Amino acid sequence: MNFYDIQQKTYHSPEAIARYLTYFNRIVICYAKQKMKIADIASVVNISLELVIKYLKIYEVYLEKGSDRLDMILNPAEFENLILPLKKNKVSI
Amino acid sequence: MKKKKSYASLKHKSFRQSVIQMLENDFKLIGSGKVIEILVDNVISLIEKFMPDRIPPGYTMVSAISKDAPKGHHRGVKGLPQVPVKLTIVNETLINRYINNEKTKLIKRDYVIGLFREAYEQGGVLSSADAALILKMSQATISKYVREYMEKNDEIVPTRGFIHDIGPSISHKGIIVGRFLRGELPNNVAKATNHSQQAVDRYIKDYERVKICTKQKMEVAMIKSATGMSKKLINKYQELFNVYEGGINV
Repeated sequence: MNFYDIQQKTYHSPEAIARYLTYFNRIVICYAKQKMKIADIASVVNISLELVIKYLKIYEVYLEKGSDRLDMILNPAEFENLILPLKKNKVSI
Repeated sequence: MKKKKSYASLKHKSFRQSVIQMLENDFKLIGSGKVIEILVDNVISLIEKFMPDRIPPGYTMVSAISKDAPKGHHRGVKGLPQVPVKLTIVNETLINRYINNEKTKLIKRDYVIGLFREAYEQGGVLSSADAALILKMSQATISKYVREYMEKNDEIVPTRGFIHDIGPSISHKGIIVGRFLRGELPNNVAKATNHSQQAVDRYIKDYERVKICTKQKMEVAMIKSATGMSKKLINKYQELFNVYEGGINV
């Protein structure tokens, strides 16, 4: 699904979508790459424990299914390129 | 130190000296120097008392953003409350420093720091761009002076960037977290650094975030991705972690 579709289907702004993806990216980096404890992830990413657990459930689902976007999200440089248009309010990608 | 006489005459270019000169020349009160001086000082006191809002020679008025304006840089300055502030351009202390042949760079640096403080004492905050415009200096030089002063004295200069938490400036965050790590209570740190309790709490929390990552032996680039903080800020917090808590070796 492209960002425009996500925006239409979820009634969310591009900035909000970028924010959620950024949280997801940060949590997955701490969890998958750094093997950090969930409590530490909550502190480092600066969100609640419950939200970390929710994001990690999503991660587990797509890890099992396999997703190109997940690989992209785990690569800091590719991730920045991915959300750049959202940050600049260019949503038609 | 060799004195510079050329600056000494500047001390006599004042309203006070003009009145003395008028009394001596126009009223022929020559010979009663001390009496004239007392008389003139009394006149000046009366003027200050009856006209408190006037701008005396040696000062200028500029508009500054109110120190109580909403924080963050997403708003722009157009909608922010402003306050007029009276700033020193020339005074006896400055002239004495020139007479004493002090280094111009030091005089300038202290003057820049003084401008930010004067504005803050009157309820306003100046940006480095404001100071650059007033002094006809580059913004980079102003920022350099502020940074140097803060690093040397471990004191926060109340610039708009620091007080309203705008821009990438990290020196004040380092000073605030450093004071906390030296054992000061967050509310005292807030008071001493002209910051809100929430801002101080946030910087301490950010320091803790970097500390967790550092203990995990994460690389700076990875900490940047995980926290969204700049590399410079991460390095600063890691430096504090090493100095005050022994780093990861403890």
